[in-house]
Amino acid sequence: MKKIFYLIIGVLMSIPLFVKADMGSPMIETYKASIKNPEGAHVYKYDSDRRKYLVTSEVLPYGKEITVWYEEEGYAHIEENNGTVKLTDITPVVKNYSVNLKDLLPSDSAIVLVDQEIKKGPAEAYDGTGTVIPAGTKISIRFFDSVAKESDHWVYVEYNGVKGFIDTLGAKIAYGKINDQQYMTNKLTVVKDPKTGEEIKKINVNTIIKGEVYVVDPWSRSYYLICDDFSGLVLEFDLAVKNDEPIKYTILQDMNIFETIDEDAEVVGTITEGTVINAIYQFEDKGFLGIYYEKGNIKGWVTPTYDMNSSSWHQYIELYADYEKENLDYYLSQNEEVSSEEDIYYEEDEPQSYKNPKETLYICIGIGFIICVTGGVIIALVNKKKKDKK
Amino acid sequence: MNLNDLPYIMARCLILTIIIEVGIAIILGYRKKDLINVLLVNIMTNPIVVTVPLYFNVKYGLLERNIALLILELLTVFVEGYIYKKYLSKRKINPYILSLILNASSYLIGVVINYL
Repeated sequence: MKKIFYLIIGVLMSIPLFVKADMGSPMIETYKASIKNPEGAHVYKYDSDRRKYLVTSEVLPYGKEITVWYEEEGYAHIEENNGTVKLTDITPVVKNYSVNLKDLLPSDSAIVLVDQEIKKGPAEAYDGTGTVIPAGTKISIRFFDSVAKESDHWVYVEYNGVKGFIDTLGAKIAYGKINDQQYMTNKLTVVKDPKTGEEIKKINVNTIIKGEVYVVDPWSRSYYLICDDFSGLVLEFDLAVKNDEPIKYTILQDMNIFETIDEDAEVVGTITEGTVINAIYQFEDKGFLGIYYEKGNIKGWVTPTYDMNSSSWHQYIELYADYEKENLDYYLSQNEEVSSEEDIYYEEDEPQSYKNPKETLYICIGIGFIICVTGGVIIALVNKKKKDKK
Repeated sequence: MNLNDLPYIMARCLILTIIIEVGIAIILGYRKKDLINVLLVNIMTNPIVVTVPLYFNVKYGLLERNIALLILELLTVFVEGYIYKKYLSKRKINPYILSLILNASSYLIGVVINYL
């Protein structure tokens, strides 16, 4: 019995070993390469303070074989002494890459945003084919499946009879058109030209986006918009998503309503404890929540993360979804008249008595202390009885 | 989590804790008279350990909640260990070690259940 018990405890405590962290950064499988520069390849080290690659005195000789971990910004991070070399100084050992079509996922339609030369293999170091796909071309792409593990961001294409690979990293390709989703800007949104990076247009806050929205690479956190009068890149953080059905939230503490979701945004109003928000548009990212709120002349964003300087918005806003029609009349009596019926959603049931969540917490804490004291007394009495019996 | 459901959450936590700790006490060879003490001790300590950290969570934040939980769990181990030392008839294991084993088990199993 004891052995079984210790075994169970051991298994439970080893569970964290099997939980893998999500790296979230682009990686490709290592590959062998050799130094092709006749003068050798300088080794660089990345200086994180100055944010640049600095050359060292080490030079890898022509022909030396190395193992490349991954590529970044024109450099190859190599296994040997954890340094980097320029991609232009190396060539993959497997010069002729041969793709297995079974390793590829089904086609997805895409738009090339920046002129791209088709490469012979799924990495920068592979030779180019000489064929360039011009920006604006609509094309079919195929990603590698996760089992093949060739690359997260290089995709297989066929263009003008040429087959090969192009890179999706760096917002070079827009793919995965987002259907059945609507967006609203949550701040003054800058639209940029994917080729030049220059500003094309600014979209005011609280504007509903009318047009097509495409994904670009997930690491750049951008969307590509195609609207009637413009197309370009916007940041994912600038757009709030329309909920399929309005999500109801209860405000647990008086808060400000901000003009945008920016940290330094102007306050345009306040929202009081107990108010129920009908969230039609909201932006959520890694614990940050911004809810669009409109009532009368006030239009703005409730952002507890910045308002309360807290990483956990749950203590200030609570999902109303668990409530049925509760305390609506109480809220209406405490707050101003609502300007439109759409501001508040309610069912036709009888109103139930209002329960302030914080009051419930305080009552439960009180009950907990009473139980604690009572429990202690009962333990003493029970054991005294046992002693007397003996 | 809906704070208005807290009474049900407290009851659920208490029942689960009792099941786990009494179960482990049975596996360790403790019998009826001592099991009653294990049961009563958990009724005594569990509601406070569930509700007080929640207060810190709501009032201050997650970090403060975790600190409060850690302190309360340690206090619970000592208090329960003291009660076991005073009242348990069977002394197979050091009472404070017993308290640590029971509390760690119920905490870890709770974490696993939440994870699942």
